[in-house]
Amino acid sequence: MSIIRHISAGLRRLFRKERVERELDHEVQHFLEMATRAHMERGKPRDAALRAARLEMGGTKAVKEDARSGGWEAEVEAVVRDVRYGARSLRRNPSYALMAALTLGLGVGALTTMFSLLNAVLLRPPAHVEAPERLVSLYTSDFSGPPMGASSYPDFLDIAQQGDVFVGVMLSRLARVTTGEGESAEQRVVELVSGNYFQTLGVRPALGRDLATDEDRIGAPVAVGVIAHDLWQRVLGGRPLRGDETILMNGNRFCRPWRRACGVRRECSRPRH
Amino acid sequence: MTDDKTDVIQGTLDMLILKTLSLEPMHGFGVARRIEQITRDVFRVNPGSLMLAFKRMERDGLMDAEWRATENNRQAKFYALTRKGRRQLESETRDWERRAGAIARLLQA
Repeated sequence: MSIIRHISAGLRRLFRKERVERELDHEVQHFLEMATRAHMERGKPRDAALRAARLEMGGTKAVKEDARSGGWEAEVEAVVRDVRYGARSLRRNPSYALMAALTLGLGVGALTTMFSLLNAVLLRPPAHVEAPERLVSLYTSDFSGPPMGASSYPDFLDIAQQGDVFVGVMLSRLARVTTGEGESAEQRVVELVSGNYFQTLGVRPALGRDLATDEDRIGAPVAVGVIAHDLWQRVLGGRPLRGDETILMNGNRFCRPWRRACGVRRECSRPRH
Repeated sequence: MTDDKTDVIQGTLDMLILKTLSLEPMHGFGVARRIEQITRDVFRVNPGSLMLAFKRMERDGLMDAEWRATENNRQAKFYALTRKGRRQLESETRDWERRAGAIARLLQA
């Protein structure tokens, strides 16, 4: 009941403002008049009585201001007033407004970028991975370096052999490579991974074949790469690599995986960085 | 009027208004006047605070307001206690007596 009264009284003040103001005005005037009359009854002339009454009241404006200050609609009105005032001052000073808008825009933009990055990397489970809730990162460190340092290959082998903890263990490491040559050369980030990478993640390539587990060995006859979906779309427009086509990476040509004749030497796939 | 009036003790204005209105429905000035008369001019009621208190208590459902003619045949807003207002007066009175009693005991100690 009370909350309905509060809401309806507030709405009445917001939307039937003139009428409510008139009533308030009337009430305050009546108060003033009665106070004046009381002074007159005590023997003051009308002018002096009115002055005394006004003095006691502290001004009709102040009284009305006090009476208006209660209720939620007073907050709403204050916000509306502030927004109007803000808009007016921005209009008066457009260069300042522009700077403010730019600053805000940049700030919001930076924040959004940071958040989407964080969201993709940390908050959202990695897309297309079969069981993201069971995927963990392992770091070994002797604490002589950064706490999340790289693990050595023998450590990896040790961990992988303890089959009772993990279903699969794979390696990955970020590296920068250059694709293409001449004017079309671009720098890209790749992951150097162990042969069981996709198998462990439970990800299947959309086209072509997965890496084979023995293809990460030293002395393996060819180097194999898998390109990401967006790169595939961008560079090849989502079509398979033609028989005679190659993708140049750090000066080495990658071709369709089932054509061994292409003969990329193992060390060629190692980025030099 | 004498000049040694003080402002109403903070937090008691609602109670004073409720008590005054429990005698009969009154308009704003009537309430202020009555408080000053009954307290023998000890308290002065600030009109702004009074109006604000009226609006708040009306919204809280402690009192109803209606426009009526005064004895001088002028339109004025008359306030009357609701049942909820009476209950509120009772609880505020009890609370006040408890606190005033405590202070009195402390001062006599």
